[in-house]
Amino acid sequence: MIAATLVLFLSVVCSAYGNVLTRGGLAQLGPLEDFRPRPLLRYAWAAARSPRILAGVAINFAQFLAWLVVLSWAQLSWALPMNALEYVVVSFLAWKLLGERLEPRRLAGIGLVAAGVFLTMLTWQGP
Amino acid sequence: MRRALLVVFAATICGCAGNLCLRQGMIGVGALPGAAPAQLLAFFAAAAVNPWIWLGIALEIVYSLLWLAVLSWSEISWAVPMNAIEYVLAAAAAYALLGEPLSPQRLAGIAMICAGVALLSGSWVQAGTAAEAPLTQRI
Repeated sequence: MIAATLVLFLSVVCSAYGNVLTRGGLAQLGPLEDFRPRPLLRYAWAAARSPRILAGVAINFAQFLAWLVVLSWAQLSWALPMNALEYVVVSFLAWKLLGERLEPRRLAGIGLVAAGVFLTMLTWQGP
Repeated sequence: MRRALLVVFAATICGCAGNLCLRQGMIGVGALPGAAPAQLLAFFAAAAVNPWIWLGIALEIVYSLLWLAVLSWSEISWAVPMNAIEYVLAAAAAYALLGEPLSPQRLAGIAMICAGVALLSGSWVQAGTAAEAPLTQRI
């Protein structure tokens, strides 16, 4: 349980960091509104040249490998809900790095997710 | 709005099915026995030739592309709790298809997580467009 939980936490932190990088890079590209092949290809090409998006994708790949390790040890109904910790991590990052306010409602949400993850973690049943 | 709802729904189904395939594949590969380089290499080599893993990867790619499309549009705050619906769907499917036990305690944990995610995303609904929204809303 401890190894699976640790690798899962690592995966969650990678996912949060990778997503922040990727979304930041995509925000620079602007919204995707045209789904015809040529504009789609142009958008993908622009995304493939953005260092932030590339770094985000690399980190997300590492996260995927960690997720496979977790799934080799743990049941899906144990591991998947615990990914909600990403909300807690991103809320913390947004508060620390971007100075976003943590109003009571958000704090309550973070507390509920954390308590739910803890409860789920205790239901571990062998590999 | 309707377009986004459809895409979010399709993404949730794909993500859920993808994770089921990945878990089924990893049951076949077997538990990673240790962190030695040779063990890791054998583990990921076995995963790389498992058809369930590739089916799972394909579904997760579709899921990511659909999410990226949704997230590149504005007014996505209501879409965030859809991630939590995937936990419920996946737990039900894992119970039905993979024979995973669902104890009352695990169900309670999943319910608390979903309630927490709903609270978290509810606080951003008035936040405006994706570009102005808090970082937390954009994951």
